Amino acid sequence: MSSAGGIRRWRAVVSAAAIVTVLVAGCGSSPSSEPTAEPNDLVHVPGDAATISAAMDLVAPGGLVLVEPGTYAEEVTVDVEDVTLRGTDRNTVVIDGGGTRSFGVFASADGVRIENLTVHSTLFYGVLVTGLHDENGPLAHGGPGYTELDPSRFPPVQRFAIDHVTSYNNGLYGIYAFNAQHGTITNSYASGSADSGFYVGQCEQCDILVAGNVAERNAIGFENANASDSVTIAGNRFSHNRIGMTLISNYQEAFTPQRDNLVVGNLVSDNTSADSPAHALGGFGVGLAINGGQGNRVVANRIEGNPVVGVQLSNAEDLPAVGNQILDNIVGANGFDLADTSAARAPSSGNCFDGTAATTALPASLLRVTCPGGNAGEIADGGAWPRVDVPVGMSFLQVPAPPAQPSLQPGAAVEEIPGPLPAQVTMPAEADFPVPEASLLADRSGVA
Amino acid sequence: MHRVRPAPRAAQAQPGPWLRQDALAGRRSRTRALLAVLIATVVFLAGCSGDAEQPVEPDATTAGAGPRPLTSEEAERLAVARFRNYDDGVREVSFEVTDSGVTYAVDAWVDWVNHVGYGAVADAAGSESLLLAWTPSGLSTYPWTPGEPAPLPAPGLAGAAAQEWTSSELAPDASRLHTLLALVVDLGADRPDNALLLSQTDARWLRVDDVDGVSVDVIAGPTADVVYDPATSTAAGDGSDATVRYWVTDDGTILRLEVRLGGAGEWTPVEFGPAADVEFAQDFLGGEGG
Repeated sequence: MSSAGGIRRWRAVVSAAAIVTVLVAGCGSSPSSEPTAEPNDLVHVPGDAATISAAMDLVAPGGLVLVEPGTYAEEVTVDVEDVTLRGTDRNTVVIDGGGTRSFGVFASADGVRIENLTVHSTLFYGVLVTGLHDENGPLAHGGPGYTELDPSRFPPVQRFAIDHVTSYNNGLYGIYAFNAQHGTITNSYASGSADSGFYVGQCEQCDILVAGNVAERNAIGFENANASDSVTIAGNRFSHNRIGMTLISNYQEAFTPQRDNLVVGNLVSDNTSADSPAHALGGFGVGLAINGGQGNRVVANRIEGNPVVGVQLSNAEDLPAVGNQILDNIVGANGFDLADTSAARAPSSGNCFDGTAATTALPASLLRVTCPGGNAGEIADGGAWPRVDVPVGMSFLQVPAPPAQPSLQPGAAVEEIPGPLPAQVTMPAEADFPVPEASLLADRSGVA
Repeated sequence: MHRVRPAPRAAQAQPGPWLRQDALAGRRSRTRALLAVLIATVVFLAGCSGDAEQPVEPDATTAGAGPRPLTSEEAERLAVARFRNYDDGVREVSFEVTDSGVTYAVDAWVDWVNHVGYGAVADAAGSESLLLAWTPSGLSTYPWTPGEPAPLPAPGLAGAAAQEWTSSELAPDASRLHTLLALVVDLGADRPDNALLLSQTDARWLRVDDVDGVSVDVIAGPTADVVYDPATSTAAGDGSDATVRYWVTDDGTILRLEVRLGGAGEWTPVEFGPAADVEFAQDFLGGEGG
């Protein structure tokens, strides 16, 4: 791909700006920020490089950039293969977008790990992994190639791992992976996103695991748009957002329809957050929404206290919700536990609800639909739809900051340089995730 | 329920006075629109009255004289301009506009979180004044003393004086004053606009300037919310047919904009300033159902 040189050039400009900022601010010892002849396996920030961006010019492929506590006012592009970007302390290594920078960390190279740090107050993305970019950086929403992604021009990023990262008060997405494959997003936290806390999109045969994360005070906790096949979303806490999680097909992006995810062992409750940015379409009080998604398995989740709907099926334009299996979940105290709001243009079909002891449904016939088999696409009477008071949204920059989050591997292990990420993610077994308690990951929540 | 006080936020689609909650909810629920959307009314008004071309004259004394396409950094600043207003919550807005032969001076505040404005309007002679409060869809006025700024809290929101507030629909396609009111109250968004798409429109950087000592860039807004293609577009592509120009600071804060309103194509300046502690929206929108 011809853009690699361009990306590096672009990053160098950003780095220079960041360095100037640091020098003007009097921070210091002004260590060398020029690339050296001998790339390093381990680069300390600020010991070896004043900024994280400067460290990216020094680190060798497969190396480690280890960041000491401090506030880093920069956009970091990770374009060196198999590099690990790690903070020594998750809560005090902070990349601050200042309400002016576009993103915190953008990974464009294969095999990147991002660990144990905090990103906040960026205008668009906290942490972004994507193969879709040019010399000006990531080509996200609305860019050329976004609707019809050409994998030969923009091959998906391979192998990534985001672990123990806190991302809050970012304008669109907290932690965001699209046009990427074979990756994990684990043990992380996202709040204050005007779109979604976590986002996985635009991939086929994705091989992506999203597990053990907390999303709260976002417009949407977790969103999947057109990420299909091997995506597992397991053991997360997606409570206290406006909408807990969505699986959607979206014609504005490549690879419709969304299909074949496993959603297991998640807590998706009480999505009634008032101290959050508004949802772009006014959504509120929704647990899990499947919008034109197909063939997803939703197993052993706890979905309670969402005042509009617990599990909602609907169409996305002419793409129906088809063949989704809703199995062995605990639902209750939702406006409707189950609802199908598909339009006559694209009625749902073949969706089934077994072992999910719902007591309210729209249409009521959903309560009698079992697996296999599934529903026949009865169009619901919209007049019965719950009406709720939607609190006014707030600026994403003003959402309360999260509490301190647990750090990764304290002690000497922080300097260990890991081996390359594997070609395939090792997925947990579905049986490893029973229905969670309502207290799942509550110790990480600023709301519970 | 009295006339100026709307249904409370909790109410569902109550018919009645101008500050209707359903209208506000609809306004809030729009997806992120580009800057082009908010100038639609301006375009319409300009179109009706046979807009004359007025070429943009770049300041030749500055390096890299415009008009030219936006850099990505400039596009990002323009993309956050409406968000800056929202994030600030309330700012001061003032302008003079000639409508049907009368020049009005408006000195007001706009609350972009709640989509409501409030202030005073007076004629140039200083002989008449009204308080006015408006939303994207409605306008209410109240008799006021010429030369006096709008008071806080607003008067006449309870008791017999409430009868003196009179309400109407906002009519941006019929009145230049209303056009500007509609434009400024829509100049907020709870998230950034799409900088990448904005950089591909016919928005153009024009020149540097300063406003009260603060360095700004002057940018002609897009004429449409679409990628500009010189081969197929009927737009000029040099900013000369823009109907809104923005004076934005390094962080995207709007200090001034100019709006071209129909007819001879003269530019009407609108000045913006801080108003950190001003609150009035709940006086008009919140509380009881009347």
